[in-house]
Amino acid sequence: METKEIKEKKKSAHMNIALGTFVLFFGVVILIAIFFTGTSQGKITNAAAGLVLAAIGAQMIIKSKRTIKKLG
Amino acid sequence: MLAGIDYFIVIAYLIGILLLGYYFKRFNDSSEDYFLGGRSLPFWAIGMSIVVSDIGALDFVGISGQAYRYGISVGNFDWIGSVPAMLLAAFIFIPYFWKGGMYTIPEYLGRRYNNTVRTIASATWIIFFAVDLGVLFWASAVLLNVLMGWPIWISIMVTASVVGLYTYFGGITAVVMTDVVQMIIMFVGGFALVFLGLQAVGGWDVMAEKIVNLGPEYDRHFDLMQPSDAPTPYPWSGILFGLTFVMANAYMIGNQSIVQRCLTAKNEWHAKASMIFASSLKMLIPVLVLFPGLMAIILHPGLEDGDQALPMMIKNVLPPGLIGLMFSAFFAGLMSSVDSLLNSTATLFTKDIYQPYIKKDADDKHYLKVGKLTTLVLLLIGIATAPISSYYPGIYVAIQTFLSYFQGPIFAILLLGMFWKRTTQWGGLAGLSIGIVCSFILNTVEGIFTIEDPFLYVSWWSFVVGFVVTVTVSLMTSKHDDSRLKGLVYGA
Repeated sequence: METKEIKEKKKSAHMNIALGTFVLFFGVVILIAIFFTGTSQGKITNAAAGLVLAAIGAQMIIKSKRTIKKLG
Repeated sequence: MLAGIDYFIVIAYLIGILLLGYYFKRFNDSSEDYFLGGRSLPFWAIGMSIVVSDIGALDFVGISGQAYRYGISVGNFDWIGSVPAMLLAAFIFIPYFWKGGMYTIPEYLGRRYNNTVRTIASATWIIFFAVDLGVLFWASAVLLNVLMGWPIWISIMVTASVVGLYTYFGGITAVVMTDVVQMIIMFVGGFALVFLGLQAVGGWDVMAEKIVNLGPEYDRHFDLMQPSDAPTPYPWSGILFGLTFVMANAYMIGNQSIVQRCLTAKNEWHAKASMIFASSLKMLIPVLVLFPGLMAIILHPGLEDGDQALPMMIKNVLPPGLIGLMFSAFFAGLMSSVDSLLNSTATLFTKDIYQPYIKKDADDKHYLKVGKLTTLVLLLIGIATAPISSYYPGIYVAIQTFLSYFQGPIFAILLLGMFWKRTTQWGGLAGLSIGIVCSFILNTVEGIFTIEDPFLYVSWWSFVVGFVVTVTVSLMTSKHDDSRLKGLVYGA
């Protein structure tokens, strides 16, 4: 039987996957927006912001999936 | 008006946040899940949620506008006006509330004093939150109206539907977790704006020199502390006494929507850590909100309304994509403030009014239903009262003024209740009631204060009155037994 602690960790991991997916999606959209940007300064800022968001989102998903796998 | 990719981002954000909030429905089986997230949330999520609920989009717009008009002194609200109070809350007050298994701050006041104090405090917060809800709905609607060209009523309904649905289904877990996303987006968008804004004005030194050279009215724009007779709402005396000693502590320690988040923590350590983490994030907020206001002085001089500074900066400085993201962040901030108010008011009503006075011994599912129903009723009240806000020109100042009506007296009785064993129920009741009456007089009688918008002074003096009355009446009434004070008073 699962302990309360394991249940909470799993719950937390599932929440983080949902959050990570959302943030990752926005990161990708901002990266796509590079193609709609006229200035090089704007392109660089969009690239940086998009990559930061995508990295945060991806990291949350990967870490949470590992946690779920580890907990079984 | 937005176009193309930015329009897509704002729409995608609205749909995404709705789905995300709805997803958290699965974690709500009891009223404890709904109001306190099953006491299982981690400190980092709670900390982010505290910051984004506290700062909100109104602060982004309002503080940038105040920086445009008065300079960096408004930054005190997030530094000296937040951080010390948050640390005090983390180390002294939050552990008591968390260990006591409380749902609301008035619940503490009820245990420490009596049910009348609990009801007055709870009703005051409920009224404030209901009024604030209308203000926030109106602000969201104006934003959507400007951005998307939607009529005001459609905009209000869209905001209410999105926030209302995810708060209704997901409870505090949805509120906290959507806040995490909202804070990440706010920070990324905000820093991008600061970076590009500084490029546009030629860097910090050039901007500062240009602003100071604009004329004598800009001489004090870079002074964090203003003289006590300065023609701003932020003289040093008001900042120190009204903000640092009273409003900040009252807000971080006595505000249900802030403290309730800490009570969702999985243990006492996480409850404390959430507030400490939030205070470290808070220190970055002035960079995000002050800088755009200052940059706008150079890039958009002569704006009639300082609150236009930030929207103008976003529109003219950010590239496509980030404009949509930043406006989504704006909207995120508004939604975050709305969802906090909805859930906290539902908690206050269910736990402090409904449960003790209307139906005492119902089963847990019943209170869960009442909490959800209250959320819906509040939504309707917010929608109905939203247009009233159009009569108030400065939203930020209006909210601070509303708060100054009762924050001082509530903080006075919280402080005395927690630290002075001799405080009695009658002292607390008298201090709270007379303190609130005093704030009404100070806010409504003209000519008492010489500065404009004296909410900081009102907070300070109503705190002093509440404090003195509580002490005096307590000394005149019989003290409580030690057994009654156990776990409620520091050191008892």
